[in-house]
Amino acid sequence: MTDTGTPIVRMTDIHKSFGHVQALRGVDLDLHAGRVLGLIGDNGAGKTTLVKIMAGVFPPSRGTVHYKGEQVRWKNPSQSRASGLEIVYQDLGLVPIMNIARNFFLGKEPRSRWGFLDFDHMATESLRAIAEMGIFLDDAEELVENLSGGERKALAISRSLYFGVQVLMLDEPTAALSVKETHAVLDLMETLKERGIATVFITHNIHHAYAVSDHFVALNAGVKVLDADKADVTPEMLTEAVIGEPLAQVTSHSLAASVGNGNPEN
Amino acid sequence: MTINATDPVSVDGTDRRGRDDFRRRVNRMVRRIPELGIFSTLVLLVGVFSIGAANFRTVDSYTSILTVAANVGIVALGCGFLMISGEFDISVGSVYLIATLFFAQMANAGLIPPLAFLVTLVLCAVIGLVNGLITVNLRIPSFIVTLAAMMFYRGLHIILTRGFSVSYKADKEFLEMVAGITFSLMRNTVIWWILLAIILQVVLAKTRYGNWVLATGGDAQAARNSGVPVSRVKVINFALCSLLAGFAGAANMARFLTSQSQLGMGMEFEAITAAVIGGTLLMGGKGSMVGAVLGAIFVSVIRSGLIFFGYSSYIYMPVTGIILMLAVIINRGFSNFRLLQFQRSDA
Ligand SMILES: Nc1ncnc2c1ncn2[C@@H]1O[C@H](COP(=O)(O)OP(=O)(O)O)[C@@H](O)[C@H]1O
Ligand SMILES: [Mg+2]
Repeated sequence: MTDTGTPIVRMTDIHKSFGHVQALRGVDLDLHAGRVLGLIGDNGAGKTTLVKIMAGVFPPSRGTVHYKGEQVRWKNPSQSRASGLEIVYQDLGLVPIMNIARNFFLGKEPRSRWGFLDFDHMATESLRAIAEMGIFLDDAEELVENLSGGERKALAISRSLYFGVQVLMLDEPTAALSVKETHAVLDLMETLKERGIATVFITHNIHHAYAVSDHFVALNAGVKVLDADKADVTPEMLTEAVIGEPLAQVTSHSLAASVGNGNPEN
Repeated sequence: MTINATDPVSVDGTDRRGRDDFRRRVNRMVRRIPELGIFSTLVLLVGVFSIGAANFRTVDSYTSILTVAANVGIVALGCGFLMISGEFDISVGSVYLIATLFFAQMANAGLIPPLAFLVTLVLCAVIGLVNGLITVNLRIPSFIVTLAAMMFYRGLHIILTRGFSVSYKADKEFLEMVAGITFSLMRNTVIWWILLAIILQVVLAKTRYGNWVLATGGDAQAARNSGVPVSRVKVINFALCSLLAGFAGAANMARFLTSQSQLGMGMEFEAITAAVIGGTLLMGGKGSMVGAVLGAIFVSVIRSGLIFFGYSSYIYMPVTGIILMLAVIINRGFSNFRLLQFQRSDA
């Protein structure tokens, strides 16, 4: 797939430090509508930090973010969400003991006359939107805690789509899923492409990334070590980039500090 | 791979249509009418007491049970609503007490009683507002914040009254409306209580704000990520909780015309017990105002039932303690049961 048109998101020379930890050092990244970017890297490489900057969770220490050609400085994630960028976190931001319909419309509840919640609308719309992801549920009053991991993911993603997301960042969406559910989530990404969504697929599983991504960016200790179309790389090259020594611009001392502080949970 | 939305079988086999077995239907009913359990238990209890004790099955005894229930029940509504959003208020007994004093003093000082009543409610709401702002902004557990408030306002009452009781000496016409007997059957407080419960139940179950309350208590971080103003919801509920405690206190003044410093002691635990027996989760995220009403009636039935059966009133506390424990286990048990039965394996 070749690079056409202007990117919907362009990040330029992004740096981010947390105290002594340099999480990102001069990363550039472009996203295009209808394409999946596989953002790969070992734990602590800076993947989550990069998308959090894109979504306005915190600002970069240095560097710029352009969205649809204009430079943006998000004040908070609500602002970026209102403009169509959203992160789907690993824990998905769902309330387990609330039902599907209530979760789906949380924060954007539709109201009928007299200002009461429009439950009929909430139920039919949420089930319909989730069905478009290939997941068929029949009871919108089912509690989210009773759904499987794949079903929850479909709920979270279909909710973002329903409310007009244009850039979707999926942080480790296949972590802690069964094989079957992993396939379901990877299939969801095909749906996202068809819908023209610019998707960032964060994972440290090369095979998952390779299966669905059009383009790859690999981070290694906060440095971009690879940026290539799928046609130009093999899974072996991606693995190499992720686990290999980062490029020379990093001193061994600062690298040790950064890797040493890597958060194994991420 | 392309997914066809009309294709009945999804890629991971997730298709629940047509799987409407008995267990799922029971499950759904429990979810829709969570008060069913407490309601049937209550009916059973009243039945047993009514058969067992002749003086229990009189209209007078039933109405007095309701009057007693209304007093703590109004407070339980506020406590329950706040608990659903994931916070506690154990200062309600002290707020209840200070409200009796506010109301009496302002009316005695010449403020017309309806206005004195209203100002009392506003002052109590401000107390809750302060509790809420401290909890949310300084990130101190609400249990500690309201423990401090509990001591502060009871102490304030003793300082202001120097330990003496204060009587209501103003015009009593308005008091009839608050706590008198209009329908020659039961006190008006019961009517106010039921009205408040209905309003709050509708807000909780059928409005956008109610959805925010449930989400805030269910998972505050997820709610925040979805754009719910979590802190504001909590602060509003603190204010509401204190306002209702103040309402119950001022209504108590309207009935007994006196404010003395032991009023409302232990009320926080009775109110929380009523809410929990009525199905409110201690952790928040779930609960019902109808349930809280039934819970308050339940506690009141136990109290007078034990007396009618000739037990010492000391037994009321341990019995209520055991019932509270059972209620917590049952509330949790229900969700565990559901998890066991219906959570589809992720592994
Ligand atoms: N909020 C934060 N405060 C301090 N350090 C952080 C914070 N977020 C991330 N880091 C650090 O930045 C580095 C990159 O983290 P992260 O972006 O989460 O990596 P990844 O998602 O690739 O696993 C890690 O060393 C991590 O400990
Ligand atoms: Mg991460």
